[in-house]
Amino acid sequence: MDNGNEVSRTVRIGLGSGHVALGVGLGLVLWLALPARYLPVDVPVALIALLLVVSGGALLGSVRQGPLLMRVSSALTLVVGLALLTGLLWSAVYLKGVYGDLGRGASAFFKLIAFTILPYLVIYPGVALFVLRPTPPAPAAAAKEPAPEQAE
Amino acid sequence: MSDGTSAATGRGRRWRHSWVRDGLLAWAFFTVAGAIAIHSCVTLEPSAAPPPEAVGRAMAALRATLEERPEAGLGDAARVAVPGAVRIVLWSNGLPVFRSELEPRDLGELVAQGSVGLREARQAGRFEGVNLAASRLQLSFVVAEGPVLEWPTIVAAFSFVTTLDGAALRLRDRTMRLYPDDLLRRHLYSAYIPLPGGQMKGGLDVPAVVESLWFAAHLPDESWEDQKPSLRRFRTVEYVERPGAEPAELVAGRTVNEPPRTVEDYRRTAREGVQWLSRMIRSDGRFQYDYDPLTDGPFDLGYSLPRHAGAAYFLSFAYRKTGDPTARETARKAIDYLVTKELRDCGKAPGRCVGQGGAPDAGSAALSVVAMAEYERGTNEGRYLPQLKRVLEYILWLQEPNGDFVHVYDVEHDRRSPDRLLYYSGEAALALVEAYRVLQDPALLPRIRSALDFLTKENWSFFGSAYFFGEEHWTCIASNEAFPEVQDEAYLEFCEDFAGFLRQMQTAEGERPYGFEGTYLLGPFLAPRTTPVAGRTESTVATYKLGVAMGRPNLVVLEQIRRSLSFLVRMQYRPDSSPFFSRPDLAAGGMPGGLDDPVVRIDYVQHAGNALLGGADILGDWELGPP
Repeated sequence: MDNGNEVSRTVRIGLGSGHVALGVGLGLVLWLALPARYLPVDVPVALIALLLVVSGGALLGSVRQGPLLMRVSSALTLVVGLALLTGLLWSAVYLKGVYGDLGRGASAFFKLIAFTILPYLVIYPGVALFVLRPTPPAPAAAAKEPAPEQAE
Repeated sequence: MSDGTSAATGRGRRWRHSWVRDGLLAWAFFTVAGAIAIHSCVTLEPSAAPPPEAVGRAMAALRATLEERPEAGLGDAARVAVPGAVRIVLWSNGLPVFRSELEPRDLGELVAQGSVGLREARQAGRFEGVNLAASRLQLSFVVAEGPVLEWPTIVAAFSFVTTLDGAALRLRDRTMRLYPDDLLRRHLYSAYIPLPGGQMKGGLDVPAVVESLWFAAHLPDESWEDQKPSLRRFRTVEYVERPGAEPAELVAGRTVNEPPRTVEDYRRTAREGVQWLSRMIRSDGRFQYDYDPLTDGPFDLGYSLPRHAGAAYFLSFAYRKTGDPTARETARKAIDYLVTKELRDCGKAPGRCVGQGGAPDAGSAALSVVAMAEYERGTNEGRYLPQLKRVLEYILWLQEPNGDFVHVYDVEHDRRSPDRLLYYSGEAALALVEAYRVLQDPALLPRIRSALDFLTKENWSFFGSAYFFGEEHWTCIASNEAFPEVQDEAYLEFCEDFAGFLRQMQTAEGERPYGFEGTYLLGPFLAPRTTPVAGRTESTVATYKLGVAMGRPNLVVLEQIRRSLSFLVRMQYRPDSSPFFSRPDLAAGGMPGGLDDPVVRIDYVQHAGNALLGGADILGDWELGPP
């Protein structure tokens, strides 16, 4: 049965190892870079890191539900990345409102964080979602189903 | 072909209708709309405060009431609108003896309501024993107010501009306020989160502020929820009475001096610093380490020998530059103290080291040599040359083969400690240079070259070193002083790179939120401090001088120096800088730590004085203010 989970070997290795690396990286950021333990941050980040590693491992191991897990973990990471970008922008705007100016140092800090988040938590999961999008049904299967226009 | 087109059309339609696209659009809209809403909600738009002339007339009327004289007429000033709440305070000997918060519509109403309060206070006997002639009226106009995020507390703590924003607790039927000077006097600014390094804190101490405001409301704790309290910030324009003159505007509880107009203003400011230090030196030659004008006493009970020696260096330098006999006398007392009380044999190390305890540091010895050499350069007395040579022996022994220096020597275990301390290598390099200037011993030249080569080349050559710098002011002072005997293009290049790095942090006039030109700020979260400005300006002065000597004067560095010296002149305490000081005469000439730190310490005065006198060598009146 075609469930849209067919992926090429290149994609499997590339995205599978990418997810594992991203998951491990997030875990390291959490445990080594953040100076304090704070559950509202620790728990979600740890869960996402775990999900990334598991889904990447599943894709690498050719587990049948691997692509589905990858899509879920990518979507979740993308949502978190976008939420972080929103939070960063709002924080910068709030501080600019309070102080009138962020100054060069604080501006550089916000830009640095934003451009660090962007490739890992927005662009990469976005690309992964695109690459792993469900494939259109095979012609034989399509013939048995009504055309999209008819279905509407 | 038609299958492919159909598939592409299908994918396109799926995209057009996909939740991904809708989700991204919703996210973008939500984010941008939220940002606009936050900005408009948080930004304060201050209203205009009454002009100083009108405020002066209101103060004169209140003063007449206070002294039971016939009330002076306000004239047109009575109809000048007041933008919001107003606080009247009467200060005597650094303490408030009268305080009233009013909500008048104009200055006429303000004087009428304020006069009632003053009369009642007088009738209640609250001014008995108060020297009214020496007292000062202060008027604080609230010109803007707005909400802040109350949670999480760390966000709330950084939602107040240090020294400019007051804190208010709006309750159901009233608003309680702590004005900027209240927060400053209670040390509530820069008091919440310890900053890296551990010496300073950042952010308003919001829990203590809320507790103070609630306590002042005299309401039972059970009514907290009913009162629906909300934390707010507000901005003020404040004036204090000046006898025989228009009222002065207060910033962070003090008056800010006029910017310098001529180079003589630099020299005068430095000489005032000499006078301050001469008042702080005790009969045994030790300084009172610091002075807190808010308590009229010392602030930190510790003592730093490198800073003692640094102060002696400035005094000696000031004598050489200005011929001020007070500078010479005070320098001699301070160096005599070092020589008689702090010099000692240091176990197996040659020469003599400086300081008690089992681990004398290189900084105390280095700056002692710098002070003794500078004294000799100005006086040619030969008074300290024997001791200078002995301490120099010790410093040379601390130098490593790569040119760097051991910073701490463990006397008991005869061990050259690997511990590193800020500044000490640069100070030791300067000690060698200053010693050379008075001893003219050519054997010192290769040791100086080795030290400067290490500091400007090997020490700052690693991956990422192009992006930041440490504190290199001693290095650049030494590089300049070493010219021409020891010179290298790399020294100038290093110091100009350092100056360029600093310029990225330097503020321009009017730059928000503080508005002062010449300060060095990484961001607006910390109020401007004087010593980083002063120390770095010593460095930029040396860099400019070295550039001139090497035929490459850098006018950008010159302007950088001018801006910073302007800030230092504006920040120095004058005899009537603040109504909060019980002994403003003792603060006069002192350099506070910063806008949020009224304490004067000996090294604050030292660095500022050295920078100002150095700047007076290279800036002309034209650069300060071309017509």
